Amino acid sequence: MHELMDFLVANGYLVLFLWVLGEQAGLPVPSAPLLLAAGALIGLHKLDAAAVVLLSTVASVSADLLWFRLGRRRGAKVLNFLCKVSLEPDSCVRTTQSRIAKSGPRSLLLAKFIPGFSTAAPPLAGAGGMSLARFLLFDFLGSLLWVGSLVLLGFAFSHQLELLAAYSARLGAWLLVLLLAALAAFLWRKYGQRRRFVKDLAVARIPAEELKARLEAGEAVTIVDLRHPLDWLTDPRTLPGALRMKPDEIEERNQEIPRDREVILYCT
Amino acid sequence: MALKLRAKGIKQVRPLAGGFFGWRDKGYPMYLDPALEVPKGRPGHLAAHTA
Repeated sequence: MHELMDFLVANGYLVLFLWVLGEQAGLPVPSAPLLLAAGALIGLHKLDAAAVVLLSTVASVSADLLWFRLGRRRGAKVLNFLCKVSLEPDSCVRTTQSRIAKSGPRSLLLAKFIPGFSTAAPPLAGAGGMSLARFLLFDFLGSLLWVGSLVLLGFAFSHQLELLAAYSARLGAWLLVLLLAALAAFLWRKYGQRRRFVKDLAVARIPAEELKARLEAGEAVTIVDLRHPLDWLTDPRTLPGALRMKPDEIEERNQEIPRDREVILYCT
Repeated sequence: MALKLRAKGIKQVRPLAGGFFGWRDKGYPMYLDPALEVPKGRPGHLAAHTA
């Protein structure tokens, strides 16, 4: 464990930068524990506070800027891809759209604290037409707030890290094995959740070719467009004859949907 | 959403595979509602995506 701590102290800035960049770019590597540890190492005078905060913030904003530009170029498709590969896909797209629509750029201030929303918010901000200057301002402040909070928390508990280091020295390599096992269990659980979610979605979907054939044959089907109003920015058209309904209107407007025929739903 | 509608008594409900983009990218027919109010976005952004 001492070797690991020495490695972190020696290469801390680079590791921190790459780790935060990786997480914000969409990799399933939580950087919160590392920022907490960095805060603790600041408390032990092993790392410099300004460098830690600045590097981590720059890493976060850099990754976000990349997604913002991709969102601007490719629209909601990027968000869909991001949510597919993320470990929190079940609420990713819909939650992100709702939050951005509700609070605008201010939602970026607290985005980093919300799992799933953190990585998905920048491409949606880009797709939704937010100006680059506005995005950079709010994203920088949000990243600074996120990094600062975690580092400060780690700093406050820096003496506990000393105790942890003392215990870990006694446990030796077993602690490393334990930590790796915990990380593996976390990733395995998330992967299982994601597989179940994808399996549920795959059940009873109608292919576009079949729907087209049925429409051309004049069959009675009801098509419901559940895209979020922000998606209309990228393309305001619908499928022929689709009933447009906001996702949060399902409760109050479901009576408009006929019960005597098949209903086809779609979002982005 | 499909599950939510099933709970509301709409038993025959299926999501469209590929969603909106899956349909559009195949070049299948689309419809533009002239009465639609699109939320405000960056000028030119909409045109770039619908051209």
